[in-house]
Amino acid sequence: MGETRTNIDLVFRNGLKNYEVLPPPEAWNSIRPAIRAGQRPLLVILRIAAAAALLLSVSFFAYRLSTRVSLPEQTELAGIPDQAVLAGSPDQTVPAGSPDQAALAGSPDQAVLAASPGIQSPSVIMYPDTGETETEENNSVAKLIIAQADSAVYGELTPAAGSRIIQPVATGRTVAEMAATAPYTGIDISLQELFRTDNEEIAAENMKSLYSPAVSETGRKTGKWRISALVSPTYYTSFYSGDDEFMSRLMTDEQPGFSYSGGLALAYSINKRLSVQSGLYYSSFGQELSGITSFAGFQAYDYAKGNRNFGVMTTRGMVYTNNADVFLLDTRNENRIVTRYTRDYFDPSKADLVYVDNSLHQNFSYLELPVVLRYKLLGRALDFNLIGGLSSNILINNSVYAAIDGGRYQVGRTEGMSMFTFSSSLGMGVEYNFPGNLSLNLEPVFRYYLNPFSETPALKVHPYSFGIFSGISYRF
Amino acid sequence: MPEIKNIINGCLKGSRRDQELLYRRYSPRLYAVCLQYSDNDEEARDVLQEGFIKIFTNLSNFKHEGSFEGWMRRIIVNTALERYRSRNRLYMVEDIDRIPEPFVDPGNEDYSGLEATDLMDIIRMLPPKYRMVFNLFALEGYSHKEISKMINISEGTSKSNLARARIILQRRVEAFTGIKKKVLNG
Repeated sequence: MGETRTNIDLVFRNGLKNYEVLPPPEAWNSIRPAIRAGQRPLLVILRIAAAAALLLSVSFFAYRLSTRVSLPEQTELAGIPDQAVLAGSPDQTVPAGSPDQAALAGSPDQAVLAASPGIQSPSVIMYPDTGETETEENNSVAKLIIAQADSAVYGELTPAAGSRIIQPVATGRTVAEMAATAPYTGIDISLQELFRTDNEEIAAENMKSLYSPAVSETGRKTGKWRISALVSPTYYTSFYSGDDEFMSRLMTDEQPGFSYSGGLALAYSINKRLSVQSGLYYSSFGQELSGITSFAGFQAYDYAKGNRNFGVMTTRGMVYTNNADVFLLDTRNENRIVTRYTRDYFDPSKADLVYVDNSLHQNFSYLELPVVLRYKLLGRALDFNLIGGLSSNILINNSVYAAIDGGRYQVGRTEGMSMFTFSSSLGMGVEYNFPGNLSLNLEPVFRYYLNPFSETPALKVHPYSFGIFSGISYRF
Repeated sequence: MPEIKNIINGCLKGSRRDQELLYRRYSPRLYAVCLQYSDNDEEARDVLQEGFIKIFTNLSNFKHEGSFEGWMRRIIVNTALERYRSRNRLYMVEDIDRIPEPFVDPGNEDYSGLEATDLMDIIRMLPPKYRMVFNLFALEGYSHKEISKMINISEGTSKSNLARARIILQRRVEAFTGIKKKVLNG
């Protein structure tokens, strides 16, 4: 008999060992789009985040570079070659502060720059055609102002004045005054250095103008308060800090499920760069417990009074059934289920049970109260913010279910969950400001939970998450 | 022909060409496995599609430590089993732990005349519950304990299903061989 068994097994095993059949051509056509749609969500999110970060960084540096590199070009575009600005020869220079200097300047206004005690000018250059003077050191300032004013301030000048576009500086007006009359005020922060002056009053005024909300380059209104509505798909995962093998095995059988977070935030600007934000968020996340097969119809065989027939050990805590009709079977790791209805006692295959699902789903919902500090790294049409803060989270929903035909078959809940958890977050925010009060936000945020979700000391599993919040803000 | 490691790496990077290359290389063999576990061609195609989607989405989990084909085969078999389990939600398997095995002459039958297509046809004629156990035990090498967990039956049921499958297969192989001989000998 044994020989027969071996024989027939071998006939099939050997006969079918290298058997191949070409699948129907349409099979690949169905697989191809599904692979594209089913690419690992984390990988896709990370790729998008990395691409966005790279793009923003490149744009930022390109912009910064262009503001510096383009100065000479802009000077030429303005129709004034460098030589014109630097016109004159050493012969035409006079010592700074000499009586001749004021005379060469032609007018008291024009003399401000050259004769100002705040300007360290080793020499003064005279423009033969206008009689204007300029110091060599401040040629850079002159060039800058030419560049900044080429399209705007230049228009204000009267040809009769013949003062060329050096006049804005020579008029002795502060940057704020100039900016107030010019539609373009894109003066870069780095130019502070170029406005070095010992005249503290002018310096302070110029610095003030650079950050003045009244001269915001996008024409947006800036208020102290801001309310935002934000939402984010979130990827949750966790790591285990202990060395228990069983816990490690539990973690391998748990996969993160669909998670999201969203809510309203209210921010108050402490100063131009720093703001504090709080709000109320709702977040939902879950995980799948693979290999826990559930069946319905067990109530007919269960004569116990209680509903908690099964307990399933998870890294979040113990799942207890509260549905007397459910029967659970661990098809991967038999140690996960704690029950008196073991396979020796009850065999679901011999009973009239209905198969429901081959995995359980744990779902948790939290109300989050964050306190976040937001530091503006760069404020332009696109604001770049560094975000960091803490959040206290309150567990408001905790359920475990099995999926059946698109619906949920309630199984129980996870016991031993911490009611309150605290998390820290760190992120980078990009804010696009529309003219007016509205802005669009995109904030990739990494969050780490400071205390484990479970109150059980042995379950030292620290979750962390990554989400990209997007939403709209209103300033007032 | 590109190395399988290169193809896998290409797939992980999202290369459409490598994905198709991998599919073209392994789908004939894996489709044969699907046919082995399915009632009809349509179901086999569905298992193949579902299985390949799992293969591609879980490719990063393959650690290059064992046979890649074996890894894919396990995914395909598990996919087929999932479908089998979901289709057979109502389990009413009779308790046939000890069924009498009819006498079958072991003999020294020459089955060399049987081709793989014949064997496949014979195996697909088996009732699903026998076919599953026979495939898992005789062709995949799982133990009765493992099979019992995989398809939610008792070990005894697994053993008895295997015994019945063998008897049916033995008879059909003999019948097939006999018919073939008759046809060939006129």
